Amino acid sequence: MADKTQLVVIGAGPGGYTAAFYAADCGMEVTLVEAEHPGGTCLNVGCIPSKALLHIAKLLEETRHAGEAGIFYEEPRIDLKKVREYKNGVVNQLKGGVRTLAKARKVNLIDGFATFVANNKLSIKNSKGVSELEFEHCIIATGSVPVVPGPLRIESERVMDSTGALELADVPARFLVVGGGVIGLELGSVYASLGSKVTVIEALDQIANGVDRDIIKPLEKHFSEKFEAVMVKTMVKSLKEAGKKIVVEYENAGGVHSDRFDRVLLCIGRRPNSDKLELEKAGLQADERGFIQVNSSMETAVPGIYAIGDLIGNPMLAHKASKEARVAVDKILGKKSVFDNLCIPSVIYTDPEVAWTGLTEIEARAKSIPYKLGKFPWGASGRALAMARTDGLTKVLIDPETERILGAAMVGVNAGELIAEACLAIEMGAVLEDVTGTIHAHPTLSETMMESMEAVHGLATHLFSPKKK
Amino acid sequence: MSTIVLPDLGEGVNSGIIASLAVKVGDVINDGDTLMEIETDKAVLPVPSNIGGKVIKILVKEGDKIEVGQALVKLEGADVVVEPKAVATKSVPVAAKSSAATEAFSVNLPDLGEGVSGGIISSLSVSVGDEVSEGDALIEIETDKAVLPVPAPVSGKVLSIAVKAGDKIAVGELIANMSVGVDSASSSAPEVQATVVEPIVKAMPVAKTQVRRPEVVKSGTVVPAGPATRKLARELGIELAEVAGSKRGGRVSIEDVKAYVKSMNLKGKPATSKMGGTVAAANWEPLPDFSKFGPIRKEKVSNLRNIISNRMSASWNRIPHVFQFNEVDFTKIVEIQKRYKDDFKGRGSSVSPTNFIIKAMAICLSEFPQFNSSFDEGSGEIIYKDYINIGVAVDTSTGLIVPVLKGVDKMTIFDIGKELKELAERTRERKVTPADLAGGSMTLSNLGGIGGTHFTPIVNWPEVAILGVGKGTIKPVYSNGEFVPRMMTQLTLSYDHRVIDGADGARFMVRLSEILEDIERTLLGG
Repeated sequence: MADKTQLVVIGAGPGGYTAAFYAADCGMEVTLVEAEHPGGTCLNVGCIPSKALLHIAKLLEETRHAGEAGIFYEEPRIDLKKVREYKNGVVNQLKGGVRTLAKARKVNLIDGFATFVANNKLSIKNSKGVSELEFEHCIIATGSVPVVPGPLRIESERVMDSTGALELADVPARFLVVGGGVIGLELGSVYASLGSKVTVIEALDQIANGVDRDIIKPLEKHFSEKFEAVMVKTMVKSLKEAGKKIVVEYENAGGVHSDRFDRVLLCIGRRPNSDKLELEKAGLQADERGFIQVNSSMETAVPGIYAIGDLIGNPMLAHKASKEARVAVDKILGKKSVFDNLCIPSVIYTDPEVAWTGLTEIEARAKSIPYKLGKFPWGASGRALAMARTDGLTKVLIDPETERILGAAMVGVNAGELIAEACLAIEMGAVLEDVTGTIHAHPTLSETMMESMEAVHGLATHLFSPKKK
Repeated sequence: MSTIVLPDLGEGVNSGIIASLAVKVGDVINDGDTLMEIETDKAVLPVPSNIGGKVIKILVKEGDKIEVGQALVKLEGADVVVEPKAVATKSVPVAAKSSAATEAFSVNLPDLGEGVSGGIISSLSVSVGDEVSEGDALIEIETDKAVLPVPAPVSGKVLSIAVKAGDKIAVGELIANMSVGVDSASSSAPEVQATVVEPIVKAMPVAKTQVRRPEVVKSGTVVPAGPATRKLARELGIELAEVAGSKRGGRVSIEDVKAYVKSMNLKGKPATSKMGGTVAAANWEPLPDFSKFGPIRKEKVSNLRNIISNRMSASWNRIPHVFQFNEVDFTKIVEIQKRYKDDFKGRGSSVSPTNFIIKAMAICLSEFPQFNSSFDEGSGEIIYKDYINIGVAVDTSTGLIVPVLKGVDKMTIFDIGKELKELAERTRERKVTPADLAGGSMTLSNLGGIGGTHFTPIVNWPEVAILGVGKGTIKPVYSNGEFVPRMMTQLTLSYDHRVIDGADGARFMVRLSEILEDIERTLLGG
């Protein structure tokens, strides 16, 4: 006799636990099944531990640069064990928090691996054995896992994915990051701050692909000082273990090269974690890339089964998953619920941070969407100058006809926090004057958003634009 | 070496000022890289390169005013496609180029909106070989809503037409094939290009910089409205694009959506109500001119009449009514009434069968809770009420008013008579409060005092049932082998068939009749 539940959520990451908690808050009886640790990739091997390490990297960088402001520290001494403990402490506290919140809401959190048996039944395997669970509704939120292309798949503890790199086994003398995306740049920054000589190899023609050039430039400049090398349009051909080194063969316009590194981080991409769910038993099928197709209400092809998060497509972001979680639960509750957001912010938590939302210039050009541009360099921001961090830029794209805000991007310290205003403006359908007409505290970095919009008409207070006529 | 010139900017813009240069001599650029940003009187536009190579010379500087066709940058090692000589001979090569670059373009029936999935072609507006401009009508199509022109999505020549008048076609089906010149807009360019020594490379970046192509301009299709407003519109089933936004930049607010729904309801157009059901579409035809037939008078409708009108229409449209009739023997009630006439009067009560009927209704409501309910279409719930309040239709000089007698299940028949008399008097004097008019379980409309037999009262929404009582008359009734004179009264039970089944309607009527025919037994507890 199988147990029964009104709603089962598979996967307790930021998508899954949001769905479970929200459904419980709305009065549903909920079971949450997690195969590894509550919190998912985000909390255990993603956003959170990487941010804990980036905090440490920031502390190190600030002490190193304090001399510019007349404060001199000795070169910091790093106790790697304590650094790891700090990071693990943050993760464990949040992980415990998820369990506590589940318990408080009477969400039945089961540690186990769920597979489908039928379109209304799961099999859950764990140390206690195998049990069955019948459900009325199911939300699949099993996320994604790092992908390693065949030729680079070698058995060596020196070749790691992001999970391995977050372990912080040591500070390798020479560290290679394969893949200049968000994860590679963040972890590369951490290792560089801890003392590694970091090389980044990216196959495409810029790091942080998809982000406008002018926003990436300050970051590139920063990396040119911080990293040993950043190579774009370069492919890694092979990896070989040779003693305590990894021999890396890579190719670019200059030919084939070989180099030796102490550790290699592969972060080329992630794939949806759908292959072990036995979806076919529920009558479901993932597409050729492993994504589960859903409609705008997160409904799969099988009535009663929903999918959210990394599993249904890019961008693979925790905050996208948690919004989708609410959309799915509302749909289950019989509300007319769809995912109709106009923008999803993206952030690279490097130093300086990069954040963007809505339309980018790259996308506008590709789709021939007309726009007007406003830019405000942080050199003109009193607050940025006071912080000795003028290496920033805020830009906005607006509709030339209606002056509606279509997109925004920024680079600079705290860009990840500052992008929220642009997201709200875009979702609200705000026009330029809505933002320029809002009083922003002075002196703050948030003023750069207002001034970038004023700059569209050449009217930014702290930026003189010669009259065009 | 090759030269990149300023491409056509579209929309009649033929010059601009260089706002910033994005490259410098020595830079190696790729196809698609921005060379510079130019500011026109409409927008700041990036000028991308459509080839890759090393910049060896920049022919302009920031602040320069440049025109379409003007040389901007010289590149080395570019993959040059066009021979230099080809452009040296004025406009001809460009025309040749553009005709060589024509491509077939199939035109399919676009989405016509409003849930229209297709229609019948009423006429063809073009013939094969016609040159049409973007926006010109190709065909006219008749849908169940209107005759609509289907415009050409691009400019070009009609190569073939796949349909004929009278054809029934669906959205997405092929209408015509057109040949489209990739560079058909560049007729002004040739003269200028003659001044360019170096060739223009194939496919000028026209497609990339040409602005305002409606089919790809995403921003135009997004209705500006915050998430809460979008959610409200979705829940109400309102198409946001139809709501006029009152806020800055045309943003639609929650108030705008509410006002739109209200206006739709007033117009009588089908708009989804809060209840989720469709409020009836009463598109009244204009009245004839009655003065043609004789003298007439006009009188403004009173507020009360307006309320009655709206409420009755809403109830009638919303509720599928069933009417259950019965003839009930009121002889005993009349006898008791006569017997206790002075008691009724002494307690300030009127002497009327209404008092007994209300008591009988209260008993039935407690036994048949589905009659004491309301139907929430929005949430899909039936709300059962554990209180028993009876609304009583009162005929006043200005019109019908229905005050509600509260807690009748806890009242004796004498109490009911007394309270009802007071309430009816207050009602006729227009002294009732809104609270007196709300909260009914079921309504009673007794027209027996006036006359007539059966009538079919309209359920007083949000209630689900109403009882109509006609005039009692003495009739011979066959009983125990003989005809006896009995006071027979016609009752009609109107009810909402969405929540009450026919069998339960009949059961309610039978039980109600049983109580009324032998009220003494009921008062004894039977």
